[in-house]
Amino acid sequence: MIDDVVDLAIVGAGPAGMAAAVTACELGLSVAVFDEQAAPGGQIYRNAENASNASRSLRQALGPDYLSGADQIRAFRACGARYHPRTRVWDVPEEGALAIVDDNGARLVRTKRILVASGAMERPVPLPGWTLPGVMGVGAAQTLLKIEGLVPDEPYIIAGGGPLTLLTAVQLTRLARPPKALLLTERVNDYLHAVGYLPDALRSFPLLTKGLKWLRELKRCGVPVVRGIEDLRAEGEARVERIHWRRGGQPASMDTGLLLLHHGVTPAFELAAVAGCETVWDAEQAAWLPKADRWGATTSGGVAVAGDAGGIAGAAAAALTGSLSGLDAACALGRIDRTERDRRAIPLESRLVRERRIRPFLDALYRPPLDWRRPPDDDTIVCRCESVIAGEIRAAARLGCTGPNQIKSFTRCGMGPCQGRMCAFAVAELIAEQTHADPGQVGHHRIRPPVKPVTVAELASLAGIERLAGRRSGLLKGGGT
Amino acid sequence: MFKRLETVSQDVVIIVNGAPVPARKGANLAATLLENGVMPFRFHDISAQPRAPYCMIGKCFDCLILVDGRSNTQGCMTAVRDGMRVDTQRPCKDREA
Repeated sequence: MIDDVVDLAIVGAGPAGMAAAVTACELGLSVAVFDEQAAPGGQIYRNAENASNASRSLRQALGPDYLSGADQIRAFRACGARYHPRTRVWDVPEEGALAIVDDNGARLVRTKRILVASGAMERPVPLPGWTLPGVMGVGAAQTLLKIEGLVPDEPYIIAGGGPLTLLTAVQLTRLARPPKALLLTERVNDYLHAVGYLPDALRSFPLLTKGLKWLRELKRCGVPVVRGIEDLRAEGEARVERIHWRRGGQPASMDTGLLLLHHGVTPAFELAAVAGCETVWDAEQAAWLPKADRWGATTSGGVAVAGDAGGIAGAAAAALTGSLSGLDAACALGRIDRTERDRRAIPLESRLVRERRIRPFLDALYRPPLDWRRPPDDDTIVCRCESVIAGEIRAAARLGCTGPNQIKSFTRCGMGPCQGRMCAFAVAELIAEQTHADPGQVGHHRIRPPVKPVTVAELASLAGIERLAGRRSGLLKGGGT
Repeated sequence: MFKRLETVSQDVVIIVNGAPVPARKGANLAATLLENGVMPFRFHDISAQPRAPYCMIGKCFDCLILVDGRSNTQGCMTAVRDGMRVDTQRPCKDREA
């Protein structure tokens, strides 16, 4: 495998990775696709391939957008790319190399170009009690529905904001499992801010009306919708039993054994970062993004990014950016010239403009309010892995820790197995709060390989490990800088 | 906590905390455990507080559980195998030999 060089190695088999593979294969590139799940589709089309076996009611609840994923998966399966499921990519040790691990152990893959299409994750928003069993992401509940047809079997509450809160509530309501309440963070101010983007958003009318339709459907089904909630916290012993919140200063509470949280999604950019791609803070999305041009080309040679990993824009946009990256890879490797690349890009880019029109409106409406991003209660666990609370991070910042790396040394925050994925945003926001800076100036944890867990036994199996020794890799040198 | 909408053929048996649980081969382990009311998955290494799956997509590392004696296995990234032994994971100080 080590001497087997592919033209394009794609990380992630979601809409972006699949579309890139289809485009690149059509243009004659040899393509390998690595994905940690058992089947293609990414999180958005997770298990969509098997949806035809589901009952009619489940298919109707999941909806046509999800079901359409099966066509993309079919096209991907037929495109000729070598597809490696259940495979984690844990480093880009040098230009043109990927370190991967699967059931057979770790190995290196050589490639002329790399496309990071690693998708997104739900934005973690720490609040008191969010580590209790029974508190999960809305996306996590939706994943259970997609992969195993599971629905909550007891009263549950959805809280937060973003299209996925509405979509999942609607899907479960159609399956006769409506939430006990839908608690939304959005406030009048968010609407006023978002209204500025409305003229553009109106031009993507179908997307906009979809959300309104969902909301009407929920109200018609008697789901209580509460807006402008603050200070949400969960309490319980062995699991969540009750939640409390405030609205307009008034306290409220409700019993529940299941609380589903969602605050939008953020790019999974770790692999791009470890590949040396420069990242920038996007204030509108309140997230770090790899810096990239219109083709997804990053600041790191031969490495491109596509789909939500390069900035949240949704599945349809992801497939389009994937295709654009596929075209650019074919151009860089001499399969098509620039004129041909640009000609083929025209229809894709005009569709991309349409898909992206609604984003500024959604970003403005659903970006979690500052008091959600910066947990006000000092006892809130921020780092789930190492049990570090907000008060410890504030104290360390006041002591003079200027960034997440120093905070990590002082408190162990970000040192656990999730490698800072769950705490990075809150840490940057809390430091920003204490130092009156901007999260973009504060920065994120230095991201080091392995970006996915690898056991020592798997490392020991790494063929050709000696060839890595002495190179840039943090693999053998401990990652120190 | 969660239940299955439609019955599926349960072709294998896994052993959860010593008790046999019918399951589907290849099913997601974390989902299978949630469906069977297994809660929590582990007790936190430092705080000993109970934890269970949060993200279900391999990011949060809160679904860590003991699988065939191997600690810190991500339940949401593991497929069910026949005869798999799954045990609630104790804090590391309590599971050293």
